[in-house]
Amino acid sequence: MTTRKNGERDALLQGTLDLLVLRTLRAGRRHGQGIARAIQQTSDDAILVDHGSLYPALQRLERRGWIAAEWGTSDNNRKARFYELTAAGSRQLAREAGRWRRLVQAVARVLGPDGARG
Amino acid sequence: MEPTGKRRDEEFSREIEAHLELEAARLESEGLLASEARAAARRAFGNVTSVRERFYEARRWRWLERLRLDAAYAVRGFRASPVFTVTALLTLAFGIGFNTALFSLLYSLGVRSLPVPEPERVATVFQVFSGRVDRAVNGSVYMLAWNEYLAQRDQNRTFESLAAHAQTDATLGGERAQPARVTLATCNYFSTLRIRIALGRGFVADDCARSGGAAVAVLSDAFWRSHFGADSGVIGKVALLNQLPFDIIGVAEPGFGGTEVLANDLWIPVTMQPALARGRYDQLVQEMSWLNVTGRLRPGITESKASADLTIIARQLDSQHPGRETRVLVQHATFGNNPEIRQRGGIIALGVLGLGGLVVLIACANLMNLLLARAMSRRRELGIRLALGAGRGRLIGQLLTESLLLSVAGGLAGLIIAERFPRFIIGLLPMTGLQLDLHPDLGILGFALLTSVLAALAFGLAPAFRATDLSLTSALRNEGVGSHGPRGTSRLRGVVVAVQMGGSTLLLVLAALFVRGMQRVATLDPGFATRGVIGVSLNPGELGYDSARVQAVYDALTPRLAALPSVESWTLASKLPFLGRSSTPVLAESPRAGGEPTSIQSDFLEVSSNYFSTMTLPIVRGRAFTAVEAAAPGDRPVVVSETFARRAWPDLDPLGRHFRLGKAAFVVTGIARDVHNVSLGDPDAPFIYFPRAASGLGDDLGTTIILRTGGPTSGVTARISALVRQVDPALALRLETIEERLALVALPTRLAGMLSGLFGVLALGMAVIGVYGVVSYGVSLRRREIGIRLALGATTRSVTGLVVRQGITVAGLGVGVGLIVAAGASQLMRSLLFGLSPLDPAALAIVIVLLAAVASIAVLAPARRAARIDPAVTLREE
Repeated sequence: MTTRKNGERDALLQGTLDLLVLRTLRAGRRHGQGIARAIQQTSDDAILVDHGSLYPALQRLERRGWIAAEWGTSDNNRKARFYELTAAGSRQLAREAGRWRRLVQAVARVLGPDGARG
Repeated sequence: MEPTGKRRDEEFSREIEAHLELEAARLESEGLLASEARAAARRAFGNVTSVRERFYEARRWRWLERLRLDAAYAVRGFRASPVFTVTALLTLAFGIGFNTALFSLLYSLGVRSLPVPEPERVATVFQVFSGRVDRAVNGSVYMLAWNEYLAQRDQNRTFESLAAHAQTDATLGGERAQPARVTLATCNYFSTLRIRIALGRGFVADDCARSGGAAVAVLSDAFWRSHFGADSGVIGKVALLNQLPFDIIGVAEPGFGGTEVLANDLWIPVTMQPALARGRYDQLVQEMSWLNVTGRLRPGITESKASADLTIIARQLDSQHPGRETRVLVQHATFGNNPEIRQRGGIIALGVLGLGGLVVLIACANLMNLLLARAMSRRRELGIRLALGAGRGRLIGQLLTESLLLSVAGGLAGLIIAERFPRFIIGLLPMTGLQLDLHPDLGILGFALLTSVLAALAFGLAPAFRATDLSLTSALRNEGVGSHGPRGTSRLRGVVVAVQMGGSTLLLVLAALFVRGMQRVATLDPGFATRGVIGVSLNPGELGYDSARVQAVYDALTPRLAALPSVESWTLASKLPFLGRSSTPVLAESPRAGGEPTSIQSDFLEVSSNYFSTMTLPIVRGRAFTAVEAAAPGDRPVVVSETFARRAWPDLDPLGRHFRLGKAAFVVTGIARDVHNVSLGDPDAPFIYFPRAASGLGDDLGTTIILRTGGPTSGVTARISALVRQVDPALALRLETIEERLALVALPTRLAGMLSGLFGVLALGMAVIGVYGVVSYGVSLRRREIGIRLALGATTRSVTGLVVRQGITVAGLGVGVGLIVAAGASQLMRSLLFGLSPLDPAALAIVIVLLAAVASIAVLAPARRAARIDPAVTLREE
């Protein structure tokens, strides 16, 4: 199956990265580097965002109308493209987050208390 | 506004640059050296070029790349399930193949260009009249008269060259006379069409200079090979056509069989028409529709421009016909351009393509079922792909690519059927020399491709949407929820199977009706003797014999024929019944004294006085005329049918009443029972039996010697031929039996029956597989439920009943709807049923019993499996 190959290559599943980006932008507008940085920090460095996958993901989210972008100036006075969550993006975030939680709970139930044996 | 193209590329580059700078700045603030920080930022980003590439691909070549990937993925999937793939391919090949076959028949007749060099500029010319039209017709009214052709040829400004021709049957003389197809052509015929003369010469303008001027003939290559052994010394030899000598001057290029759908044998100058007809009628003088006009348009001239040009010329001729308005129709030349064919052909085409479409639809329904079943078994795979971030649209695209791939592959396989099948149909037709080019060209390939794509959408769209409508978690857990799960899909599959059962019911009912119609022809009594009745037709008139010599031929021949041992009785008539229709209006005297006469359109035959006894046709009142009465001066005696009498003189004694036809007056001596003289299915129509040569409707009616033999006709025909040759070897003889005519009458019914029967059986096979699949699948979904029922004490009988009910509901629904549609459709087929009721109980009963039997088998097998379910096992399963 082709998906196996994808699974090995990507550190993070595509759908998951989208979810994380949306969640990060809920706190306010950020540029790409800021998003990557925020995800890394919030997850206590458990999730390393592949910067190379981040931008195609941003493109994708923008195309779907979940985030909007415009050029602005960063804190240290550099030109950067800033992203912002749209109303549709907020709704999508709520939907995806709920779905994700249910999946995690379901997986947890299946694995059971002694998941280590699985 | 979203920036596009180059600007977007630049913007993306700038954004990445910005990112690298920001990241480097951050690392620097954490204590790295500027150069190190920059390198680290780049490392963290990965390959900048590859990201750019991904961005680039995403916009331009993504769809192509996806298509390639999808196709490769699909092929891998097909290889993994060969049974599914082969079933699907076969289904599609048959469905699309038959449909394309039917299309290619119509296409080669009505769309394909004539088989001539540079056919693009070749166009046909027909006339459409409105208002008062009063003209003689030999062929069809849309054809041109000689004077009209000449006017168009000389005055038009849109054609490079305009030719005319008319195809006719003639007798080719020699020791053994035989029929040949002859085309009377204008002398620019070959040059207009750019047909090469392979041997000798073609016509020159001089050959057409005056009526009867040049008795010369050009042979077709095929005829030259079959009748002259491809003898290169044939030029200068003489061919006898209707006993008239024609010098053979040339042989046309190989492969050219003329511009009519029946391949032509010889061409002669159009000015030989009166001579060929022995001066009986001169179509160069009369204003009579008889010429097919074909021309080569000047470069750059469209058909509509030419139509306008020629219409102006035709309007000038209209001035001699007050109240008439002519429109000229110039169309790109095909075999079937005559508006008469176009009109009738349109209806037939609709029926034929409707039938083909139904077959494709049933094939699609079957595939849809297969795909729905497959979609269910692929839920897990699709669920994983959704979880990994594949969009739903992307998955639908993937699934449709699979359908498309299957469909186009099936369509390609179907082209083999499409090429063979029409030949098989043509083989069943009674005429020979049909020159239909059935080779697949762009038009036919395009049709097959279009059918394939439409079919792919028809069977692929619903399963694709259904299969990808998953909630992620449930798909991964491999279970169904609500209407999105297997239950909903099984309902959809039920509908599909019902449609299939309906379609096959429709086809089978039609097939059964046609078969019953054919039986009816065999058993139907037209009302007179049919067994062992032979018609002997000769052509002394065509040979230029005068009436005394014609009489001598018959006087010599009839006693000899009558003396043949198996001949029980003989008589003379203008023709054998069932051999086409002759009809005339007559004026019947009014039922009331002094009233206006009533006009009655009636079919007729000219017969000898012993016709009625020979044909065992009962006279219900009065008597047949005698030979003496028929020859006597004054009102001519005549026998009319019951319907004629009822129409003309309702509630009155018809005997002794009069009617007129032209100047001749007739008196009714007898009433014959209503019989079928023209066609079997027709309702009773007025009919007149005139004494021979009494109707005054022309010498062309001809004479047929009718012999009634006791039994089979096969042995007698050889002896008849021998006798005719004894009397006059130049005579061309045509022998026909009423039984043959009846078989010919039944031919359209036979063809329709074979087609719908073949398609019906195919469709039923598919529908049975469908029913079986739906019911088995239903059982597998309900294993747990059935297990619980059994555990709670349900009997196996009630479980079987449960499953059977599901299957019967689906099948029964389809059959019911199919029967209703069939009842409507068969009303339209009435003319093919010979008076059989479109709701013939026997036909319906046969189909219903067949369907019930077949559906029961498809339902009972899974039902028995359901009854054998072990509750202990199923309850532990989940």
